[in-house]
Amino acid sequence: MRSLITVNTIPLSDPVLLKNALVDLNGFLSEYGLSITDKQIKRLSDARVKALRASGRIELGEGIVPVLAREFSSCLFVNENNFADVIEKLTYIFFEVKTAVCDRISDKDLVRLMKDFYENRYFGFAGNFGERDVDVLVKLIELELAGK
Amino acid sequence: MTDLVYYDDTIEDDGYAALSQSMQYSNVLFGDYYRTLLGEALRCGYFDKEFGDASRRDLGNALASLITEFTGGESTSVLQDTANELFASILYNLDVRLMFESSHSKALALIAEKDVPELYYEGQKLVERLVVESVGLLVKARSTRIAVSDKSYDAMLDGEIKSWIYRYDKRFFAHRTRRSSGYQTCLGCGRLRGILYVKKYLENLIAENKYVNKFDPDAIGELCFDYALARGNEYNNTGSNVFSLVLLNQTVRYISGEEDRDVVLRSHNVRDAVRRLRKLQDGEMRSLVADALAFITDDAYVSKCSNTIWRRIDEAVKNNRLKEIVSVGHDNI
Repeated sequence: MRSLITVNTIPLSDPVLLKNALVDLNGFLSEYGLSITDKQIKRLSDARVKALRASGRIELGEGIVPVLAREFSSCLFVNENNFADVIEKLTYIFFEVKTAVCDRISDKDLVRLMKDFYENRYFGFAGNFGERDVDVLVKLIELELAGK
Repeated sequence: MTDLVYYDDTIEDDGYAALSQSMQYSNVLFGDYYRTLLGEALRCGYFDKEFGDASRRDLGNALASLITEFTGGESTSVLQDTANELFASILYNLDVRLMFESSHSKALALIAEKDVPELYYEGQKLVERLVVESVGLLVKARSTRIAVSDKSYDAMLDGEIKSWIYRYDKRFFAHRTRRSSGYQTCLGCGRLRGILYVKKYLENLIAENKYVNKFDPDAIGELCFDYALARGNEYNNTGSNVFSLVLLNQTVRYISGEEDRDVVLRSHNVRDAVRRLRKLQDGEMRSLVADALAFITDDAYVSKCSNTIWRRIDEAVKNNRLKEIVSVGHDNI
């Protein structure tokens, strides 16, 4: 039988939009001594696809990567050498957490929470990002939601 | 725009085959009308690839807008399952719009004439209209309710349907169906979903109310009471469709040789009916049931129930359970 149009066959997240957004961001990042190269943009774009697939999500437009890059550029634990790595790991964690809390937190609030968490936990030291961070962040969000 | 044509057997095949000889009717599903019709038209070349890509792009834009609206603009991503549900809601609106056309060829012409945003908008307007019509039907169903208290019938009419219409999310989950859990109408609602299901259910119910209300309420009350007690239920809980019960009683009475339209059955009626039915082949039994219903009434809804009634009688006779699907009164009265 013929192939039908499904959500998976509709290109909702556009890699060109992401690329343009990250290229445009370079001007802003330079104020913090950071930059993202074309190679890193490609890597981040691939990481986004993998992260979305791993967390069972779909994303619109340029997505969250440029937001994470802008917000975390001012963190003490990022530098020219680890910036792209940090953003890549944060992208995975962001989508994992978002799925784990069933979308009960907005992008803006989650990015804010993640920034607080990493700045206060690592105190400027780029430590290990991992699965355990997802659990801790989920618990923090649950507590915050329960308190509302 | 004509009236809604949403019954599987009423969308006619006029001119459809002429569009392209390679189009196959069996590939078009009414539960997924827009997609399967478009898919089939693309497969056999009625629409070209460019048209298919444009439709895909338009659907993508509609989905992106709906996701943004759904998240209140607070999230750039959603779970795949959520996206699938929202997409199904968009497709449902498109399906409803196309089902207002009376044939596949007209629906195809509409797809060719109007782009997805226009069809989607018109579909949404029609869904809104269907909600209003369903509310009207609910009012009518309640005002024509049968004069017998039945637990699941009352619960459905007084609460379940009202709550369903009230909670129906025509924007994000228009396709969702919350089927009546306790009280099924004799004639089903096919593969209809969302508000189309509710409307069809209420139309069936009104037709059943109308038929049952032709009888003396005391006779129907007694029939339900006997049936409930025979099943060990509470006096007001038949656990069955009242209309079917009335119709089954009348049919079995007719088959037993009593050529009248009464609903009362005695044990000897059931025995005589079983004796007669056991001598018949499937086809003969089917036409006997159809004859019985034609004798009992000329009601259009009742004649549509012929197959359902025949299947129930056939199954009951084969399993020696005919007495269990009808309400048998007391022989000494």
